[in-house]
Amino acid sequence: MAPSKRRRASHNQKSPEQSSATVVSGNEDLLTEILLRLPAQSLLRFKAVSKNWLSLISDHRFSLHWKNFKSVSPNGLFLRRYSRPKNPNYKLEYVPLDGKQQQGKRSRPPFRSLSFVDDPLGIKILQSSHGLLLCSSRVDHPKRNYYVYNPTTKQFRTLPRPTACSLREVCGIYLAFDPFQSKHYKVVCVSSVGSGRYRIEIYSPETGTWVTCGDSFNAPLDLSFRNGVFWNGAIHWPSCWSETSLCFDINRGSLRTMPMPPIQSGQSIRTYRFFGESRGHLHLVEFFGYFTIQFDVFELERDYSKWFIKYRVDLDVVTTAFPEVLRIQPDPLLHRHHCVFLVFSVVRGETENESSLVLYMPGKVISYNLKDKKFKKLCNLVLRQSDVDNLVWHRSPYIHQHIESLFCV
Amino acid sequence: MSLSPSTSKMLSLKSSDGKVLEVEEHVAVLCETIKSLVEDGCADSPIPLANVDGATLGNVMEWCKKHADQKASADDLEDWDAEFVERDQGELYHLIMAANYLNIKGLLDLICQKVADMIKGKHPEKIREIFNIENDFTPEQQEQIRKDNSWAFE
Repeated sequence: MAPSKRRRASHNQKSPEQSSATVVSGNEDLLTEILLRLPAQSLLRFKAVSKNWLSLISDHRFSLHWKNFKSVSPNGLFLRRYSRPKNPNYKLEYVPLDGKQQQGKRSRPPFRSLSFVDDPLGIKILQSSHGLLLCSSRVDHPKRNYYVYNPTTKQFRTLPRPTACSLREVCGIYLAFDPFQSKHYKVVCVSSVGSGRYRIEIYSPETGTWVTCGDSFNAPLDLSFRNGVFWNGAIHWPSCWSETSLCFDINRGSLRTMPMPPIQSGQSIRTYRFFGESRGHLHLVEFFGYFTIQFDVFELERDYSKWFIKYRVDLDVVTTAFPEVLRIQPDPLLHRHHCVFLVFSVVRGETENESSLVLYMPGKVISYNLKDKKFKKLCNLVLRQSDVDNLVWHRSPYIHQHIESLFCV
Repeated sequence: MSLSPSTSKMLSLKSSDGKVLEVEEHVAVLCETIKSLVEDGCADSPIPLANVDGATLGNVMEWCKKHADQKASADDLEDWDAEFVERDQGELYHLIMAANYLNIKGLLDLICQKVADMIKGKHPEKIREIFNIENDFTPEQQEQIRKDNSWAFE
């Protein structure tokens, strides 16, 4: 912790209680041990105690060790339902993951809507990382604003608009934040410059500006910029039918190819149902057909050599308990069947025994332990068919992890 | 060296105010500081503990004894701990310093959490009073911090 001067008022008559309290608070290690156990609100208040307390609480290392920051285990998931952009009554759904909820009682969501700044176009979450949220105005508009917001400290920063905002189409915008590597996040924006070419800009809070990174580049047609994921210092984009795809290394400012899992025989297109990071692992879930209850969770090797099957999942035990999952709902107009469950998230635990899938089943969200195959209901949730259809194809813009943290915006 | 309860021998610990406490070795070694002395064969008799007074040492050993008891269940220990921390502030701060000096992580965690719960939600003025801290901010700096975190002061 940063060294700092400490002055004390001299009292000639100190009670024994007061003097021992003074000794404890004068020991930086012990004081830190106590402060690490306080909730965010108290810590923000206590910044006003003294310069020493301010510097202790504001230190990045303090944020990393803060007890409420479960580093990589999310407290819950926010789900944005499909709604008209101008619907003023839209509310976020919240799925608690931290097991704090009591039997039969739904734990209170940290918030249901975002109003940290008065944005006439409303605010939506685009990405989340280690407790920071990348948000934007809800409506696609040249005047849309981008924000980085910490819902725990309620601090936010309005980003200048990327140059792409007014001139070109923004294809994807990502929050790249790994507090274990650096206290500063970056925001990466990919925009189309026409003729199938794209350009990358990077925002850094240290300079407060967007910088265009390198020349424009060609990207394969099947690259999904919308579902980009930050992992291992790079933004990764899945592809729909190619055997390789692209990722962008932020520190080097360069693109490189990455492998994709093989497409199942007899299929021409990859239908991934989850693509995301957890506890330093990049996962991809793909399965075929709307009634599959067996599927694999792939993980990418850190050296990008290959994807391997990390978990083989068979939801037989779940469908026995919840037969409605297998309900056949033919859609006569589209000649297809509705998907009956969704993979909301792959959550890696501190140990293998704690890793789980968060799954939506009609009317509820369950957590399925990947090791012992046991499952438990997390909450009730009824989604409309439009939400389900939307989430099948575009999961990442709608589901976001909630993590309590003190990191600076 | 066996540290099992059945064969545990007694250690004597001497507090800063000269009080000597006889404690079973398997209880005393919950203190990492004492454990390393015992393991290195440096456990003089009595072991002088210059930074812990007799009353506090008694409290610390009471906690160690309970936590060395193999029969105590996790729930049992939790209830017992909750009662153990119900004591006046002066004693708690002495216990923190002793747990730190004797290197007992479980006890340090417990007391730090108790103190955190006690000071949680208080106003900065009250915190300065409890810990005898001088306000070294200018009124402007003070105002700025309150403004930047206004929701936390509501």
